[in-house]
Amino acid sequence: MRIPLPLRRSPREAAAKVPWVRARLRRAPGLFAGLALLVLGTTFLATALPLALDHYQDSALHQILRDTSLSGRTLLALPAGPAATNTLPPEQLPPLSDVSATGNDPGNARSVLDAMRTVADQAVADVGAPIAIDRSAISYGVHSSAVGTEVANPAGRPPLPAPDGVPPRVIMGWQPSGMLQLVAGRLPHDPVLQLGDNGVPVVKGTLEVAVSRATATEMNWTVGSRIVLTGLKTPAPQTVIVGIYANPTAQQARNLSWESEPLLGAPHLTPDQNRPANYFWRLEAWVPPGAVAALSEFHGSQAYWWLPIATDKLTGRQAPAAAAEINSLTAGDAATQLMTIGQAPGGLTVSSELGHELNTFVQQRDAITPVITVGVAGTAGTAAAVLLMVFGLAAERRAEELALLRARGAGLRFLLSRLLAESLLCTTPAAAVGILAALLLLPSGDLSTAVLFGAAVWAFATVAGVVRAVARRRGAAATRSDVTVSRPSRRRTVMDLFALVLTAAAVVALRQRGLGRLGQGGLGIDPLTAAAPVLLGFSGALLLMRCYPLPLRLATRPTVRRRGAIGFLGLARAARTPATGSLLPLLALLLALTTAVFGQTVLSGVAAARADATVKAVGADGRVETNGPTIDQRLVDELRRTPGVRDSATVETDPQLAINPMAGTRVTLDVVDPVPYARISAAVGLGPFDPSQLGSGTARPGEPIPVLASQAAADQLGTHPTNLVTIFGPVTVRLVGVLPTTPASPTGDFVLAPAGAVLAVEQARTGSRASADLVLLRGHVDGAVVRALVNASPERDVLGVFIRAELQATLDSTPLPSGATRLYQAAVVATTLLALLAVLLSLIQAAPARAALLARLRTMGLRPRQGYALILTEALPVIALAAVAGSVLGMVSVPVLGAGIDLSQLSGAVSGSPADATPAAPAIRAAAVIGPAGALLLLAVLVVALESAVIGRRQIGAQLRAGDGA
Amino acid sequence: MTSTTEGTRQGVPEGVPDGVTLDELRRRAAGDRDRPQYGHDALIVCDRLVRIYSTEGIEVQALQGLDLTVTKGELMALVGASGSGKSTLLHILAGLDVPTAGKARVGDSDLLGMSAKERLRYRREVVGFVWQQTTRNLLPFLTARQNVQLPMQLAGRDGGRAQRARALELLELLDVADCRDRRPDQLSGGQQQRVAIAVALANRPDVLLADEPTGELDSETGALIFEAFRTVNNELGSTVVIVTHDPLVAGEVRRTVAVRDGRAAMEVLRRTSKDADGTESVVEHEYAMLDRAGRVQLPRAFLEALGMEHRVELTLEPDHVKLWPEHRAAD
Repeated sequence: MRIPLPLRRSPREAAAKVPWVRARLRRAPGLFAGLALLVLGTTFLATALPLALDHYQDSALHQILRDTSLSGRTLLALPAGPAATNTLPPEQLPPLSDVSATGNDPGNARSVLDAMRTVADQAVADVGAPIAIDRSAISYGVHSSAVGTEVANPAGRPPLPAPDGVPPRVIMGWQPSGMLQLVAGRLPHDPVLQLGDNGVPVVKGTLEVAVSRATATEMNWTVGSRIVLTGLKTPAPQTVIVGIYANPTAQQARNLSWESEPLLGAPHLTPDQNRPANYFWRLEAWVPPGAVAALSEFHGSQAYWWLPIATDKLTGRQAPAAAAEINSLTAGDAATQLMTIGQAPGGLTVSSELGHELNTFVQQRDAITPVITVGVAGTAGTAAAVLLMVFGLAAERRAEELALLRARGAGLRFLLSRLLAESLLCTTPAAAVGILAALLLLPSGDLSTAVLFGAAVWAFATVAGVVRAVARRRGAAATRSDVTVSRPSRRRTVMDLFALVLTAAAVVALRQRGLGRLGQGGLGIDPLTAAAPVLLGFSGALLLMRCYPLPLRLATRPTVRRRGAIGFLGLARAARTPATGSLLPLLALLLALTTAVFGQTVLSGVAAARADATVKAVGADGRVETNGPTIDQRLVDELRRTPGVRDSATVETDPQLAINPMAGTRVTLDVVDPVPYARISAAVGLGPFDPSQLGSGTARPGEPIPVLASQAAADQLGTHPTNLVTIFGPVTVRLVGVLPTTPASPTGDFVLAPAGAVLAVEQARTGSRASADLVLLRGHVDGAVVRALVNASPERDVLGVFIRAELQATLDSTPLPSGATRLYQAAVVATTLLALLAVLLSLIQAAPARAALLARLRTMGLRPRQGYALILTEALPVIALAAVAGSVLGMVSVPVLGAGIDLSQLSGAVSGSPADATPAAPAIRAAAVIGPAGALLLLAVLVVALESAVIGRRQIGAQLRAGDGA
Repeated sequence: MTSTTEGTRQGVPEGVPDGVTLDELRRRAAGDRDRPQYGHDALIVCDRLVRIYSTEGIEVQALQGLDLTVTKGELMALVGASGSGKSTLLHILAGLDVPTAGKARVGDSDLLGMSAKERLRYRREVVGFVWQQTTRNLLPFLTARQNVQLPMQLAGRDGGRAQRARALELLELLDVADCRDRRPDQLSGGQQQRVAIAVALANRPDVLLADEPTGELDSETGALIFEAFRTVNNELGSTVVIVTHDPLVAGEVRRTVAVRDGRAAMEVLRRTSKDADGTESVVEHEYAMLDRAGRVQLPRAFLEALGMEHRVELTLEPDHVKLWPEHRAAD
């Protein structure tokens, strides 16, 4: 019988061993693709996370620095010498003998330019990393005293514009002429200089200047116009306009040259220092470089160097170092170094607001980072659990195959190497693509950390499933591991206890210390406290896994005695699923739900804190108040008719009411029309009250007026009728209630009185009634319309407009908190998606076995509807339990962890200063709790419905022929 | 000479007869030591083999002191009801399960005392097995040839070319050479099972174990499979142990051991003898197993027929032992 077969000797095949990886790949390409996709997604997220963190911080910093004032993004270097000689030292100027030479001497101009540029270069050389100066945009120049020189009306010509009778003042300034584009006349020539009385050079003869077209237009000047200067100590030189240059375009105006000297571009109406209500025009005229030495003639002169900081190159990580460098430049070692710059008298002093901006940024960032870390840690934990689950399920599918291999004599090392090779083939390309995609899509920040994160996920994904599969195959015999049967080993008990202790420690640490930084340096986030929500979810999952069989058994008991077979069958099958099939999804779901609910709570807490802050700041949806006595009645009516305004109330206030003149404390008396005001209070939610408390409107003379008051004011008023001296006249009031707050005075103490009674007193006294000085609006108040109305009114200068929606928008767009919120939202979304994925996978994984069962049952007469019910009873216990337990855990984690988490930094602060933000702990909100769990259950039911529909359509025969292979 | 022995219940140690002194027992034990080892000449030796499982906290005694010897080159069948412990025995013999107590030896391998490494070598080189479910014997993603080659590769024997040649040789021997490049799902049940036998034989094992190899097959295919076993037994000289329900199979082998309640209970030996006129006939002898302690398990049919319970009366005759139900003795 032993006939040697002719061997087909294809050389490749003959030497080839039994293929493994290739054969497996070919066998289940879908599974491989799915796993690869999951690995791709998770590595992408892991790599993107540090990049996104850096990116959001960087862009927040850049936005902050873009929006900040000029001094917040530049270094202003000034000579450190005495103010009078704050200009170039004499040796830097052309020698006076040459000064007598008239005409536009290019050498003269160049020497001034060179001197300024040299100082700039030296200053830049002293600026150290990480501050980088944008050399191309450096701006420097010299101008006469910022006070300016008064310009007198020229004789025989129309007077210069002077809105409040204050004459215009002109500043003489020089900057490199490259920025000027002449539209009329020519560039001024250098003047002839001579030594003045005190040894300072002065202009001899005529000083030629150029002005911008805007200045010329405003002042009615043309080429050839004279500027008559008065008020100088020395006789003023004859000043003639010889050139008019173009106004800077909007784009040019953002160049530092124009931005640092805006007056060179356009005149500005400035309030008079002595009489702030009076405005006058300030102008600047461009003088040639030859005149620079003589500028001190005009009330002193000042050389300046604006060194723009390349803020776009500054990263969030560099912020502390940059702040330190700025500190050093303004008051530290580098400042000393700058003092030695010889070209400027006494060296240079540098000032900048950047340090302050950076410190604020760092402070805010450090407060926000831990909260973000909590969210991200939750997502990471969920992702790990889902990965473990997916690889566990994949290994479960192959349990039989591995058991056979073990029985046939495969060593553990053999299994390990083959599975690892298989796993590597699946994860490596996927991880490479994921990491690369993240690096390409978010090209910023610390690449090494990002790659490290991605690689860690890759390693976990590669090894976790393999090790798990091999560890379970240590013994050769296959054993069943039903959930209701399998008993936790003693080792697992110890591990569970350890996890519980760790969780307790994390929670205690979080509650005691908050999510603070550990130590001083680096990314010192305490990993223990940051992981607290995850640990809480994990411990909950461990407990649930231990308890899970119990409710299942209890649920099975009544179904045993009932007549229907479906319930019993479904629950029995649920109990018979292998532990991997149900416990790992349970863990993944619980973690996901806990973190999602916690994250949702944080997010809604932030939104609520913002809404609360805006309500507290505005008192209603819109608020118009005046510093003057009253708001014009016509304006009030117009405001009331503004589209979108649904309700309004007017208030007459006495902000300086002294309840007890001896005590000296002042409260605000808000005189209101009770009914509309109560409506607004109730709608806004600030101290709602029953308007009838404030009386029927007209009080009889002699009877005390009912008032409501804040707690502190009420304490002063007491319960007896009190006499008060108000701006409306003396009144007797009686306290009828205490309100926590009220729209007219959302912060501070107040007394609320009915308008009818109080104003009747005033009318009786003065014969007139006060009208409103505060209008509260409710509804969709359009800020632009309200502002337009206010600006059209003659009292616009004393009116203040506050729109809640605008304030909310400002808060929402605060760079750092809004970026952090977005990141947090992304984390919550990712967690929810992972949870959905876990549900989907666990359902799909069990689908073939269920299909076979259903087919068998259908041969016995199972109706499709019953099949649907069977799948539901089988699949739902885990998911429902996880949904309930996860929501409860998430809910529990809010009060347990909430005390340690301060949301005020995430919500941003109304005043802009983070110190003013009140600490805000997250509170439980139903939507945040029910949302994710509901979505999960809905998805599960959908999948089950889909599954039963698909199975129902399939031919039973085909299903049964397929046999037990599933 | 007549002696009455108390019927003993399984698992309960036999009581020491009255009048036996401790010295007497010691002497007997010393005498036991000098006797040749039980089954010293056999390939498979199971001596008072015990295997206790615990599932759901309940202990299950699957094997309760099973004795079995199989000599080299034998083709035998193990029969028994479900739960009688025959599959447990097979798992132990396959090196997949470890007995709780007793002795089990296959060739030179002691199944109780093996290290993990020795056990691996044992599975690779000493035994091969075929399971009942046709799909469980083969890896679904490998072709028939690759499946046969896999154990050789796991054992690390020979070169790839030699492995391939042997794989084809085995497939040819089992008459499934034409299936060599097909995957299991493209094979019929019988073909699958024959490929599975080839896989089991890949490493030239001393023992071939088969657990209900014909269980999922129709009788005709079953007969073919059984023929394949016989071929293997004849051609390769492998010792074959088949666990089966199938009376057809049981009728084909020379020795059938029935396992009941975790013990070998009955044994049927068949011999072909020739009459004077030359016609062959199969002579079947049914034996009850006598264990080393002298216990005999009576077939249930006998017990029921005579209403034997608790106790029986024994009398020793010159060449046999007589056994009566208890009530007869009381009459």
